[in-house]
Amino acid sequence: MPATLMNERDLEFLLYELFDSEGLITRERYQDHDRQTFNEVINTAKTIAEKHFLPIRQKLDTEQPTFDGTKVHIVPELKTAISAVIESGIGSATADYDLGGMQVPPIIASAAGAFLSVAGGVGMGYNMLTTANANLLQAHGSDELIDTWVKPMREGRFMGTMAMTEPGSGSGLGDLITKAVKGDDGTYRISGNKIYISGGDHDLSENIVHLVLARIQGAPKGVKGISLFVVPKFLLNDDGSIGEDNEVALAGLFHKMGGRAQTSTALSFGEKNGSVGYLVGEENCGLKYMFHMMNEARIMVGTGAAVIAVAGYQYSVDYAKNRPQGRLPSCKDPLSPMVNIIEHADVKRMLLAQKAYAEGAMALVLYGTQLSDDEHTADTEELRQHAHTLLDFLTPIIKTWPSEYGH
Amino acid sequence: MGGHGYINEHPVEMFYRDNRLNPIHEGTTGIQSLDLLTRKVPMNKMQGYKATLHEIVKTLDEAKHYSSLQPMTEQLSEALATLSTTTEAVLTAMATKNIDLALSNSVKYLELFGHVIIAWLWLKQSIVATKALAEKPHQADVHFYQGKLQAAQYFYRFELPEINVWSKLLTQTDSTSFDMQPEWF
Ligand SMILES: Cc1cc2nc3c(=O)[nH]c(=O)nc-3n(C[C@H](O)[C@H](O)[C@H](O)COP(=O)(O)OP(=O)(O)OC[C@H]3O[C@@H](n4cnc5c(N)ncnc54)[C@H](O)[C@@H]3O)c2cc1C
Repeated sequence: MPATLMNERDLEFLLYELFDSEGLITRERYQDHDRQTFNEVINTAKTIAEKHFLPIRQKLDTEQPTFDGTKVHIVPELKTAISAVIESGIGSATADYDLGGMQVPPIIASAAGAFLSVAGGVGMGYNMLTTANANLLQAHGSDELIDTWVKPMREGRFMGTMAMTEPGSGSGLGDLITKAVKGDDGTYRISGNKIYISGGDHDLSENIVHLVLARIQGAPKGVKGISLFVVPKFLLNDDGSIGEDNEVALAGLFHKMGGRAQTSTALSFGEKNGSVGYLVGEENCGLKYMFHMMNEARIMVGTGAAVIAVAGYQYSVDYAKNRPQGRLPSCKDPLSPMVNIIEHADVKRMLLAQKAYAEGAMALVLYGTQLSDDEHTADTEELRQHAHTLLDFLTPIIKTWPSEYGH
Repeated sequence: MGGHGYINEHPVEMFYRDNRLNPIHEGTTGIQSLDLLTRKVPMNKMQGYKATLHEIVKTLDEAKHYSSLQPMTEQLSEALATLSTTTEAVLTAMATKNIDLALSNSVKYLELFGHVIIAWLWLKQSIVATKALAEKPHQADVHFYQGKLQAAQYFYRFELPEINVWSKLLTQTDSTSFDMQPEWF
């Protein structure tokens, strides 16, 4: 049954009637855009979603990634689909022009991304993590780190992860024990085990840029002794080409209940000599930097949940309009035609609940996304600060409410 | 969808499984709720909290111009008052009682706040829909906006009242979970 991916009328309502996204074009950053270019971005995403992701959606779910001891195998069509996203420019649509982006407002990119995540499940998760990783490095990394790692990630040649969780340290990151030892050349040697690292290994890109939280020898206990490192899967030669293996070994893949297109990995760092790690920012400030990525990721999590809720609602409505079953309590005539279930009051109650949750959640995440834009591009410093205050406060709700009520 | 939603010939069971991760990664719901109460609410003399409430009040002021939205407006005003008294009670408990006890129902606080925020966004959507309907749009849009108003009404009548249950647990610093002992399970 061909249910539409998203409710396009509702997206239009949220973007242009509720949040006045069209007004954004008066901001300098968006001066080359107008409603038409916004819609082109959304339509491009929709086309790729329908052409490349939707046909493999079920396959991505039933054929989980496998590890043969040397290499990870993922449904090969995923790479084609992701390449289509990267080539279209949608993957880094919000980035600056000089970094290969299109300077599209995040709220528009989010609406476009909705089609891709409904059609591709978490197949798009690889790109999202990469973008968030690159954004963190751009905000907190040295020029050298940015030149070396951010560019190839924006181009889609490298992909990124966030490697925080350890077997003994999940919610309480203060207890993590992955070790970093400073070498004479200013780089560090990283060793330890990480688990649940999404996109931690795969064959979708030339290299994988792990952002790893670790504790430098002698650092204080707790969250104040955590530093952040870039630890690539492969080191780079001086000319930027792929060099030596950096001792980031895949210990195994986890098999997941859902979101199966994205590998969930146990990684072992530096079992022999230590993996080479490049410090991001200053020592012992790692968690603060990671929060840059986590806050962004939390909005993405809420968005992912809201989008799934909308998709489920859409599908259910479509189904209910086409499924004949039973008759209303007032009808006693067995010869009368059955009604479609959407006529039953209790079905309407359930669909109303879905609509109220899904469209409420979608409004919330788009509001949050707009705040994340306003804090950088609103007209005055005061408005930017105001947006920052609101977003910072609302992040736990934007992350959690759609996640808890989105199903 | 009945049984048809339970089988993998339709994608909704996959949607359900896909979403199950979201309350877990990037900070579980429990962790988020503690972050909200211990950091976000008190931070900078409650600046974020106050700014958020102020946004809601702005929408309430706007909604007063539409008589058909009166019931929702009144209900959201009451919900806002409930949120305020609950917040005050929880912060007081955090300052004066055993902090572990005072925070033991933090997820209910996050849910309460979340419901108020979603109710606010539904009121905002209802204002837009009411204005649009007054312009006599074409038939498909009439249906669309009526659907918005009906979903908003559903949220206000079926969902929003839940906050009163949560508020009671929070203001009374209910100790059911806190008092439970590992050995009693
Ligand atoms: C599919 C998947 C993908 C993931 N991707 C990544 C990734 O890319 N990178 C990464 O670093 N991590 C990732 N994670 C890890 C994820 O962030 C952790 O699973 C999460 O933070 C919870 O940690 P935990 O699983 O160790 O659970 P625990 O921390 O052991 O928590 C178990 C339960 O105890 C509760 N709890 C724990 N501490 C407290 C407390 N102080 N107060 C109240 N309740 C508490 C929790 O809320 C939870 O209900 C991923 C996980 C999964 C399942």
